[in-house]
Amino acid sequence: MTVLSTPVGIATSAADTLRRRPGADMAGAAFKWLLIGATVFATGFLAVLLGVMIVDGWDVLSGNLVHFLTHGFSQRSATDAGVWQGIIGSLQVALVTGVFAIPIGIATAIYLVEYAEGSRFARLVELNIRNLAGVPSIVYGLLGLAVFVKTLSGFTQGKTVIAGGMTLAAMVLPIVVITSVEALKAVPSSLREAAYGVGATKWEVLSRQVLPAAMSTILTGTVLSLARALGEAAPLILVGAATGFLRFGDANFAETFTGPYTALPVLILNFAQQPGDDWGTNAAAASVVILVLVLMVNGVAIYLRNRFEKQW
Amino acid sequence: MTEEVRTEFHQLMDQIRADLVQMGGMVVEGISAVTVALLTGDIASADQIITADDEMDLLSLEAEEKCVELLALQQPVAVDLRTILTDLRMIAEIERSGDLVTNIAKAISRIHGVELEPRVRGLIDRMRQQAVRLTAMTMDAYADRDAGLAAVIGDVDDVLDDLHGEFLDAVFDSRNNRKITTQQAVQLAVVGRFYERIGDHAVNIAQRVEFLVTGQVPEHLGAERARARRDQDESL
Amino acid sequence: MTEERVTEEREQVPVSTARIDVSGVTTAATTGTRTEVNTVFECSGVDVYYGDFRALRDVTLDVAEHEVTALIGPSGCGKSTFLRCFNRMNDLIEGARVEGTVNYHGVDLYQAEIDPVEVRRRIGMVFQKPNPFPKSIYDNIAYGPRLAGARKSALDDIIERSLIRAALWEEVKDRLKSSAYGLSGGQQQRLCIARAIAVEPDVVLMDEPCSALDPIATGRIEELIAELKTDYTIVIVTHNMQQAARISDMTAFFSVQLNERGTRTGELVEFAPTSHIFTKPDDQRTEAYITGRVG
Repeated sequence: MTVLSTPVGIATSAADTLRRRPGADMAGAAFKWLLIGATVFATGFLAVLLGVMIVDGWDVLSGNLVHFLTHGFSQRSATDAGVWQGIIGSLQVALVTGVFAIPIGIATAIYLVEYAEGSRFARLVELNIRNLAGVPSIVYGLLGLAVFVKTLSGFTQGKTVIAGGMTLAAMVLPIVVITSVEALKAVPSSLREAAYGVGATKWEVLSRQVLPAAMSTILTGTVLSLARALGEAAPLILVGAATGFLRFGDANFAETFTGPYTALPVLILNFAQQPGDDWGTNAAAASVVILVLVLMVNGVAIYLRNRFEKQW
Repeated sequence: MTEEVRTEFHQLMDQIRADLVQMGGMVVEGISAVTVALLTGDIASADQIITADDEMDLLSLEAEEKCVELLALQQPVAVDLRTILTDLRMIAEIERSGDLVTNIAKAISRIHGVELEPRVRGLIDRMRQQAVRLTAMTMDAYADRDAGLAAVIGDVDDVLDDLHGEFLDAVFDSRNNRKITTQQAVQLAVVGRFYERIGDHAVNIAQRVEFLVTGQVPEHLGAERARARRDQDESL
Repeated sequence: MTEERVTEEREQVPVSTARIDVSGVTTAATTGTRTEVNTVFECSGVDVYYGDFRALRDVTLDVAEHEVTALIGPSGCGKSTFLRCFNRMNDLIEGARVEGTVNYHGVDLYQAEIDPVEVRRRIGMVFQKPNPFPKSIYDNIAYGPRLAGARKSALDDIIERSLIRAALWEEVKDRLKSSAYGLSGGQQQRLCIARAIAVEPDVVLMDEPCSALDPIATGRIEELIAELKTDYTIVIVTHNMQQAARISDMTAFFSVQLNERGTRTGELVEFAPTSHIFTKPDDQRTEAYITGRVG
């Protein structure tokens, strides 16, 4: 606390020391530009990809779009072929995935966070689930083939939409569980304490405070995981997509779940494997379609989040 | 091993303590000096003593300001609170003792030229001795937070009270023997009274020191009686 | 002085019993149960463990009815932990264990047949940070009564009464349906107090209720605590010693001891009338702490 400088001295040195010095924070500035560069690269890369796809698929997207969206697969010529079956198949698979993955995933998360919190069992399960999220999707395809197609064939009827949906459900389940666990953990303990403090039971605290507070995050996470499922091709190929005759138009809605099916990513693969530029155009156009589909699902996620996150 | 987290506050309290001890020292010196002046009839040094009291007044004023500031800014509790409360009351007591020294000095000119009998002179010196001892002991008790020492001050004061009685007898014997006038006797009696009062202030301070150390507010007999009467009234 | 006042209050038995007794037998019930009625909590030999770790050791103290009891002490001394013994909030912490007895009106709160949910309805709590639910002001206060099965028709009344009691009614009566998050910090905390008293508890526990508030808001809460005392028994944890001095009747000073295993265990050092603690505490550790010569 010994102040040696006189007021005049302080004023003089203030004028010197407070002045902006050129190059004082070089590292900070450099880092900022590095970050900007990374951002530009990432978004630019995506933009280029999208641009290339649109350009490649332009013939179909501009001239033949309605036919392309409303017609089924055709071996005869590229211009005849459409993605209708793929769109329907993908949506059906996603529906089945959601029906299985969302309730099971959320229930698992609730159990882990609210009932088994801190126990060795919960920690073990959580660790394993986190590891499962990193397993390649093809492995889930093998699992689906072994379990859903073969072992549970009585229920799934073999290589069907249900088997495909369940396979993808197994794949996204870890993501659903992890996002739900994080969402539940993010609910401030003060909210729980407040409810317990006025005499709420565990069930009341959970159902009326914790779940509503976590719901927007949970739904966002799960819907986004469905979007990921929409884009998967590898596991579906193993569990029967695009195998055999593609049923179209001659079955009712319920029957299509237990019949042969295809999905957009599988169709893209199929298009791309055909010889000839026309098929390439189709593949690009189908890629744009799947992108739009994924964007729409993400839109639903955003809508749900806003809806549940009613600002209080 | 305690760690101090209110260093500045406690340093300020220590400063006030030092100021008070200094004021007590001034009283002790003043008693001796004024007694010498009284016995030698030295009006010049009496005047000096009177002027010196201004210094004491200033010191007490400054100490009081420091106490008020600490009360307002530091919200003292427990021993800190008791210390500052004690300091505030002690300032008044010491300052009064200083005034009494001045009063003795003022009386010197009024009894100037009187030839005091040896017995009276002897008693004045013994009263000085006791007043000095009392004041010094009290200040020691305060500086050392010594409740035991503070507790015996009352008994020491009894010695001064006895001397004071003896002194009054001697003064009036003097007057009866026509050694001094009634007027002068009264002046001398008042001077004796000043010494006795200095002892009373020392006793008051000692009681505050006991409060400071133990937290017990000294019991007053009068307060006890009043409380008994109040309780009786309420039960009626 | 204060000790005398405490005894005086303890003798005003008929008034308090009449308020509690709903059976209609008001006069007969009062005889012979003086201490029972006037002591809300009797804690003896309370230890709290978190797993193997002993957080609090051997606390014995009584909480008197319609008094404010303040728990003070350095951080880690277990004062909040102890507060949470009164409404079994410690149950919510994994591995927490309470030993010793905590009697509430003569009933051991830690018996097997006691339902902690019911305990918390009788013994409300206000927390460190204002924690309103993400709902309207109205629904925040209605939450507890609804759980307790209050009829819809009675709710308006309960809400008005609670808000008036929490000195918030005038400020919010025109916007009961708007979000509780729109209130200032101090208002939110008073809302939380209103929420706690809406279920008509007997005791209100407060865990550093003013630590997140500015001085004016703090002053309002302190004012409110003084008023609430007439209806409720209040136990408050505060790290603000001056606050404890201002608002409480009794003060418990907790200290923390480092034991040989390097862990810290809290213990009750001194429990006495607040004026006693702040003028002439009996224990050196209390004195050192409140005068800033912290150990």
